[in-house]
Amino acid sequence: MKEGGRSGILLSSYAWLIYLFLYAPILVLVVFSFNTSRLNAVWHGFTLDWYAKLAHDRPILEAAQNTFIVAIISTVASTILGTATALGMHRFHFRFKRVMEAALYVPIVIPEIVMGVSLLSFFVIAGMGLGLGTVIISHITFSVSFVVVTVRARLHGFNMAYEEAAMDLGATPWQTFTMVTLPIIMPGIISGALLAFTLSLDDFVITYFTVGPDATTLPIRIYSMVKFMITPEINALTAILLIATLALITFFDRLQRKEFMSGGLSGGIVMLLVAVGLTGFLFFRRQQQASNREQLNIFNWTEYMPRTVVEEFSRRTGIKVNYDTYSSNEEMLAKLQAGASGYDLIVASDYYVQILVKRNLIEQLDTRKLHNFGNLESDFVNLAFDPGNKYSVPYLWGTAGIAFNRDKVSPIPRSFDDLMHERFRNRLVVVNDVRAVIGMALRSMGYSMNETDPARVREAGEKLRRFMPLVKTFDSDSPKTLLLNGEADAGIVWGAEATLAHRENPAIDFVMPADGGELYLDNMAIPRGAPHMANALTFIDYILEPEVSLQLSRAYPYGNPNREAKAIMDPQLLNEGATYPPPEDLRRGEWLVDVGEATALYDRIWTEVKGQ
Amino acid sequence: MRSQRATIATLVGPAACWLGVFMFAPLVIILVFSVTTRGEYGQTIYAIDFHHYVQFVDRLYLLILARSFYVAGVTTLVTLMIGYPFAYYVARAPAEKRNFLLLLIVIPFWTNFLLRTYAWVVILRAEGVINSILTGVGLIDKPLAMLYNTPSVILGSVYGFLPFMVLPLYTSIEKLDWSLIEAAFDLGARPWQAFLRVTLPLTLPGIVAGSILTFIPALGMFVIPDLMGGAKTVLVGNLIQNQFLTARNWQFGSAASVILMALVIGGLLVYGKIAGFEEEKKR
Repeated sequence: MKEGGRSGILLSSYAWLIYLFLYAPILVLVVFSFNTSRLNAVWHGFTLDWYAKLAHDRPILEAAQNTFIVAIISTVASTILGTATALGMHRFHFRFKRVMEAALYVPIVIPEIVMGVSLLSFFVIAGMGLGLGTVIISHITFSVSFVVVTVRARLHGFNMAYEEAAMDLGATPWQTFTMVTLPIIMPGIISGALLAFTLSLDDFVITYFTVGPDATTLPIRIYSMVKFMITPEINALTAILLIATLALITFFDRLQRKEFMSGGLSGGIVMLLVAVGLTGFLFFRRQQQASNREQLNIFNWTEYMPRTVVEEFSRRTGIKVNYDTYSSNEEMLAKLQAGASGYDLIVASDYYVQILVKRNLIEQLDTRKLHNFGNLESDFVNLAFDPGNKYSVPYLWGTAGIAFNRDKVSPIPRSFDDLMHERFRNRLVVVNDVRAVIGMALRSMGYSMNETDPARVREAGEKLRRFMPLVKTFDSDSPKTLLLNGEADAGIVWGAEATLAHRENPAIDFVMPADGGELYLDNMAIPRGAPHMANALTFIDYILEPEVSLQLSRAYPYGNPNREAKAIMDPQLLNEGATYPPPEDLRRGEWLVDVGEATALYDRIWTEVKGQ
Repeated sequence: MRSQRATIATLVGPAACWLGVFMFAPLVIILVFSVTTRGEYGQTIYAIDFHHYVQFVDRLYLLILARSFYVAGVTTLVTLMIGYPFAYYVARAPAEKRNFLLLLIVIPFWTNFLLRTYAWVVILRAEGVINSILTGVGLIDKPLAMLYNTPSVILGSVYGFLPFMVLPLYTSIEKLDWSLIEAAFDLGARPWQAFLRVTLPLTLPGIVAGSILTFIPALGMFVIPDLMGGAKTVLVGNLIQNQFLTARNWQFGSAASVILMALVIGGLLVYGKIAGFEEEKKR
C-alpha cells in the first residue's frame, strides 16, 4: 500500500499540526526569555540580560547538572532492567508471573506523594543517607515499569521463528540476541528509554522527598521559585537546553544517515555512549566541587534569602552553606517528620513552629547566646505559638488580605462580605489555602480564624459554598499574575503578592479586611539532631544584624520584624502599604495557631466546598 | 529444565529484586500507616485502627473517586484519538527519519512541566496569545474564555500525556506487517474495513499499553486541574496530596492510596486474565 496523494498529505499536515501543538508552549517560553519584565506574565520589551544572569547563577547551573546525572544514570539502568524483564515475561511462564505483573503496575499507579513519602521512610529506616544516590534509586524504581510496558507492547506477537532460524544457521544465543532480537525490539527500547528519561528529568514530588542537602535538582528549584516568581532566567535555561538538544539530535541524525548504519541499533548505542560520557564528566565535576570545609545545611523557602547574604556569611566565617528550598510548610514538615533530614536550619511559619515543638522535631535554643536578639521588635517576640522564643527566632512576617484593581473595581471591597457580590462572579483569584480562606469566612461571621467549634466551621463552609461561583481560580503560587494580566479583578492574596503586583501596576491595591485578616510570622529554627548546630546559631545571629536583615527587605517585599533594620531602611520600602499595613489594620489581624483535632474537619469542609 | 530457569532468573531476577526492595518495602510502610492512628498534631500513633478505610466509604469521597475515573477516562480517549494518527504517521515515515521524529515528540517534555503549563496559561488566557490574534484579526470582539474550565483541563492533560500514548502506539504500529493490509485490499476491503479488521486488532497491544500509561497517571493527576482548571474541584490526586500535606493525616491518605491502588491493579489483572484467556483460545 503506497501512501501518496490526498490521504498522505492529509496525514502529514495533521502530524505537523500536532508538532505545532507540542511546541507552542515551548515557543512562548523561549520568547519570554527575552522579556525585560521579571514576571513571566506580560510582555514589556526585549533584553538579553537573563542569559547573562544565568551564566553567573551557580545554584541553578548546579541543579541542572544534578538533574542530568540523575536522568542519565536512571534511564540507562531502568532501560536495561526493564528490557530484560519484558523479554523474560514475554518468553516464559513462571510461577510468580502474576505477582510480578502486579508489582510492575505498582510504581505507575501509586500516587507520587505516597511513593515519595514511603521511599523516604524506607531510606531513613534502612539508614541510607539522602543524596543523589537515593534520588537515582527512586527514579529507577518508577521508570522500570514504563520501560517494561513499552517493550512488551513491542514484543507482543514477536515471531520466535526469526530467533530459531538464526540458531539453526549456527548463531550462538548471544549472537542471536544482539543481531536478531535486539534490532527487532529496538524501537520499543528506544521509546521506553525516552519515556524514562522524560519522567526522570521532570520529576518533582518523589525527588523532593528522597533528596538530601546539596543535591537539588532543577524541578525542585523551579517549583520552589513559583512561590515568589519564576524569573525569565529559567526560560533562558530552557531555551539553551532546547537548542542544544535539537542541535545534538540533528547532528546524530546526519551522522547516522551518512554511515548507513542500521537505524535503531546504532542510534541507541551512540546515545548510550554519549550518555555515559556526559555523566562521567558531570560526576567528575561534582566531585571536584565537593570539599571538606565546615558546613551549614539551610532548608528555606526559595526566594526568601538573597544569595549575597549567604555568600557574605561564607566569606566571613569560612563555613560552606548548602541552601535547599521548599514551597510550603507542609512539605518541610513532611520531610522532617520522616526523620533524619540532615538540615541545620529551617524557616517555619508560626503555627508550624507549634506543631514542630509538639512533635519534638526541633531543638531548644538559647536566645541569650544571640547578641542581636534584642534588635527584634517586641510585637514579634514571645508570641503564643512559642512563648519566650524557646525554639524559634523571627525571620520575616506577612499578611493575607484583599487585593483589587482600582481601574476595574468600584467601590473598593473592604471586607469578605464586600467580595461576596454578584459583580465579582468568576472574577476573583483566591489563595489555595484552607486556613486562610476558611479563616477569612470565619472572621466575617465574627468568629476566630482558629475556630475549633465544628458547628461554626461548618457555618463558614456553607458561606464558602455560596462564595465559590465568584472564584475564577484558586492559586497560592502566584495570584498576582491573574491580577496583572486582567483575568481577575480582585481577590484574597498574600500582602507580598500585592506589593509585587503594585510595583508592576500601581492600580492594584491592598487592604486588610475590616473584619480581620491573617497575620503570619516565619521563624528560624534548628531541626532535632542537626549535624552543625553551632553554625546554625552563628547564622541566626548573623541574620539578626541590622545591615543583613535590611538586605532581606531590599530583596523581598515581606514585613521585617527587626527594629534596627527598619531604622536604617529605605523610606519607600516602609511606605509600601501591602507590606506594612497601617497599625490599626494590623491590630484587626489574627495570628494562626494549630487547630489540632479540628484539622481533619477543616480538610473535610474544604473538600466538600470544592468537591460538590 | 535448569537452563530455562537460569535464563528466567537472569532476565526477570534483577528487576524483581529491585522492586522487591524499593517498591515492596515502601508499600508495606504505607499499609502500616493506613491502619495506625493519627495523633492530635498529625503524628503517627501505633495503635491499630481501620476507621480510615471506613471513612473513605462516604458519598463525598466516592463521588470524588468517580469523578477522577471519569476525567482520566475522557483524557485517555481523547489522547488516543489524537495520538493514533500521529503515531501512525511517525511509524510510516521513512525508516531513517523515524528516530528523529520520535525525539521531536519528547523534546518539549524535557522542559519543566510547570513552565509548560504556565506557558499554556499565557496562550489561553483572556489577554493571551490566541485571544489577541483572534481579536486582532477581527474574528471575535470579546475574548473567549478558554481557561479555568473543563475543556482547558482536558487540553492540558492531553498535552501532558500525549508522549505516553504515542510512544507505545508507535512501537506497535511500526512493526505492523503491511503485507497483511495489502492482502485485505486485494481481497476487496475498503480502507476503513482494512483499518478496523486488520490494523486496529494488530496494534491493540500498543493501544492497551498507551492507554494504561495514560489512564493510570491521569487518575492521580492534580497539578493540571489546579493550574488550568482553577483548583475548583477535588480529584482523588488532590485528596491524597492534601492528606499528606495540609491535613497532616497520613493515615487517611495512605488508606485512600491503598484503595486506589487495589482498584486499579485489580482491574488490570482481571483485564489481563480476560485478554490472556482470549489469546489462549485463539491458539
